[in-house]
Amino acid sequence: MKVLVAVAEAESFAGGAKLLGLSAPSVTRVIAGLENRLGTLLLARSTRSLRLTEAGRRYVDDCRRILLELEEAEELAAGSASRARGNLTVTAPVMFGELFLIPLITEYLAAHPEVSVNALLVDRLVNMVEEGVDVAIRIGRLPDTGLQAVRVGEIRPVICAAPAFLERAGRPRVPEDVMSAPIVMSSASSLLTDWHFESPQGALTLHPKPRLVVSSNQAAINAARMGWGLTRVLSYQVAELVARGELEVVLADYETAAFPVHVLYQGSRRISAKVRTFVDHCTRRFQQDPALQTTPAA
Amino acid sequence: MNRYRQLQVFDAVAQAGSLAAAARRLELSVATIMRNIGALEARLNARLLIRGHRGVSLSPAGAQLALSARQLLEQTEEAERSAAGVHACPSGLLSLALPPLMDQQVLTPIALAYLDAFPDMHLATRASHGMPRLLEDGIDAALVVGHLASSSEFAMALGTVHPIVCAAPAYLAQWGRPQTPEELGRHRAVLASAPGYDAAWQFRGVRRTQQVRPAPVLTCTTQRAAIHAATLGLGLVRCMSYEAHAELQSGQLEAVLQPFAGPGVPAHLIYRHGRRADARVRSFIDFAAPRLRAHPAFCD
Repeated sequence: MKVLVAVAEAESFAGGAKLLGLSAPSVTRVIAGLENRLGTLLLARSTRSLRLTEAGRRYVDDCRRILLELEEAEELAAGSASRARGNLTVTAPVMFGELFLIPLITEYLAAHPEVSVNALLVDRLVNMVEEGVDVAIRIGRLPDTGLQAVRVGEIRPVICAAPAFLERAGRPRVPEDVMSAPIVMSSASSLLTDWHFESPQGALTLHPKPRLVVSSNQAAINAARMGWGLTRVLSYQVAELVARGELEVVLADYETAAFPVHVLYQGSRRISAKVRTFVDHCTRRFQQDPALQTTPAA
Repeated sequence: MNRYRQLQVFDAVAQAGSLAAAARRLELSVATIMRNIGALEARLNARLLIRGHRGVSLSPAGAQLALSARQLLEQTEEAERSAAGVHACPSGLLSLALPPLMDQQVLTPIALAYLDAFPDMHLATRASHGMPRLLEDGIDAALVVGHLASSSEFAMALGTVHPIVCAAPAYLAQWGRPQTPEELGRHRAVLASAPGYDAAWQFRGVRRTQQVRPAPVLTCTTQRAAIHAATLGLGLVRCMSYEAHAELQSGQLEAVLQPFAGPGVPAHLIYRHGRRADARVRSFIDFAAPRLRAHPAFCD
């Protein structure tokens, strides 16, 4: 079962073998044996790819559930309901994960030596059940998913620049001022290419033309820090730099509504110790973090 | 009659689809256009245009020539722009591909200085794994790490980068500093799972079949996340030297197992067209190459 699930996840025999630390031929043999026993084809093989047949897909879903329950049963039997162990898979948006989740994971792993973590840092919506994710950090409004969700804070898009730049080039007073300023933009997040503003006079969207487009938010922030121009990022990404006075938020009066941040986990089943302890740890630390709480710019 | 002029006239006719429109575009008379086309057809001894009731169309030979003519004319124009570009002010958008982490660790200050020096230029960088395809992806220039396959691109060597294993001083104090690759079995690793990062850890002097890699305590998608976790003391991380350049400089990370480090890998700036590169590309290459070569990330 484990072998089939790994092959299905990797979409290749070689990839599945690598996940399990087995050789590709032995994985192929195990799957063939399984198919023989069940009398049905589980994997459709073509020269270039591998995918599950309809029967295979149903079987893999069942296998995943059974393996998870097996793990939990073993955990309970081992008398370790209160002790976290095993592999924990978590997901978060890329930059949020790199900046905020990694330190929390590091602390968590130091406190729970029998756990290892797989952090899926991607800017797409991950299906927690299908991809076997235990805990997810989501930014934005939640669709109704039947998952347990704990609200831990909120973040908002902000426009910022270094104090030296604002002194030299002047501080933008109204949204239209950004159209003539040097702009550095990150292509990493589509969330940030349209500049939305809100004011008592109504909503406004501008498309300033950046002179520099970089491939990561971090590079955009670095350029702004060097006093080169304005950039638009999410508040948590610059919270520390703003607190240290290296960057200043401008046009705060025109900011749009904040996005909520949630910690999600699958709550329908018995919750394993590793999930419970990790969710508790994240919730506590995020809720204490001023970068995730609304602090209107002065 | 000069051959360049004939090609230019023929190209205008092929593009416009009529003698009169070509004449207007080139500000010549229809008679001059016809004389040029006639001379070209006589010289090549081939019928290039089919004259019909509703204008002209291209013969098979004409269609063939139209393609080559367009290329030749573009190259000529570019060569002229490039020659003039040494003194002219380039303008437009330059698209640049970089390995992940390169802009943050190395390029951003150089890019900003370039934009200050060339006020009419815009720069767009994008991360690209492996070897970018300049022509297909519309990229003007790329910084690439790795051995180059021979191709039509022009390459400028920037220096060498090295695979390294590193960790935070706090981790090394707690877990000890590995002295040989064999000792890695007692250590903890942070791994990135993105394509290109999942390779085995190879060391000089270790049998090739022996894949040494400590057990991962954290596997994360991006190399930036893995390096961040390593700076917090979680474990050893393997990366290319430039990927952790700032952390190594500041002492947040220390390299270990240096005597066993694998061979260095060359870094190049590649671009299309070589000496005929237009002023946009030329200005960036001339500006960035010496600064990149002098950058400590590319020096031993």
